[in-house]
Amino acid sequence: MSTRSVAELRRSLRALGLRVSVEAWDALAVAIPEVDERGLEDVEIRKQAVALARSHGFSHLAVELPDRGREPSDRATLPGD
Amino acid sequence: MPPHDDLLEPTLRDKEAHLAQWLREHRSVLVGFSGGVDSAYLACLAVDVLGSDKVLAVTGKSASYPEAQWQTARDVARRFGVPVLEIDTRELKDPRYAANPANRCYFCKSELWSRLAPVASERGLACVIDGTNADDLADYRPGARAASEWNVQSPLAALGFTKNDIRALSRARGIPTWQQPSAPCLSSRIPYGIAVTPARLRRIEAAEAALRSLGITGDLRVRFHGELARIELPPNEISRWLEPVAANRLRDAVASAGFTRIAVDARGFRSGSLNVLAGVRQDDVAGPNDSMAGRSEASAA
Repeated sequence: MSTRSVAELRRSLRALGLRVSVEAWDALAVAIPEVDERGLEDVEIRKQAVALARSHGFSHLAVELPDRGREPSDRATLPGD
Repeated sequence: MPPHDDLLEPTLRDKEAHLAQWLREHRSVLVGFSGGVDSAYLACLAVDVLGSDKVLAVTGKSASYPEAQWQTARDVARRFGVPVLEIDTRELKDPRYAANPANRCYFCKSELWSRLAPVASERGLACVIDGTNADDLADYRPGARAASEWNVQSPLAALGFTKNDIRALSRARGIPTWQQPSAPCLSSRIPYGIAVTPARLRRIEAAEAALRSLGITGDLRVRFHGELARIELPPNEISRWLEPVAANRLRDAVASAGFTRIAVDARGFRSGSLNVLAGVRQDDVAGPNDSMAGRSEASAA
């Protein structure tokens, strides 16, 4: 398994044409699309994105569905936690 | 004979005949009965072969299974004349389980079988059996050790029944679970090392119910990553749920269960996904495939 690199994965995804930022949660990479970015709806693009994530050491790639109505700092705490 | 025997391939009929013979040789059984595809088939066949006075299906209830599953278990039992006993299990009160180590399932199954084995003895039932199937043997399953310690037998696995075999045989017998998605315990949605709590289990259950209410069928999971919910959809559903309007509906549904960040897994449902994330199982190399139906679940049980 290659060393995980968020920066490298982000660069690779951008080279694929995806305007995303990336967060790492251990072996899970979360791609956060910029406004209006829709490339990951395409199955072939997703396949390539998953392959890139694997090549950068991530076993999983997820696409965040951002809440465009709220900023991250506005996010509520978790009930029951 | 199953009511729609003509639908079955001869090899499946032979397998079922071997299973019936196995049951007759054991004379009477206690079935660990979750109401899932495998144990429902096993319990129904046992009653058909041995008679209801030689079979007891026991359901171990706890917060780690969705409420809807208990109802399914009751419905199947009522329809097929399966005698059922429900007992409450206490695995969530075991700190070794709640800490969610990689062998969490061992503690759950130890609790379950330690409660069921005495019931079998008290009622004079010859053996305790479960619905583990041949596909399950391929995954990381620490719960199997507990079954072995309590001498629980797994005839479906021993006789080579795959999940697809069991679905086909269930369908032929009219058992409604034949097309039911696999339903491992809700704790399987929480990565190892993150504590299992009733509140988290309820949040996962609510999120998955909200996704079902959108009309999503087939295998799906909401994996718990703290504030982030990672949704594993049936692979052929991913593209449409990433379209902006649908994505907002998906997001709102899962947010209603208390998650603040919601993400869709790019590959969709993968059996044992968190075992791969934890590095206790090798990943397969298949990528996302919008034409592939969800695989059967081989949970970490």
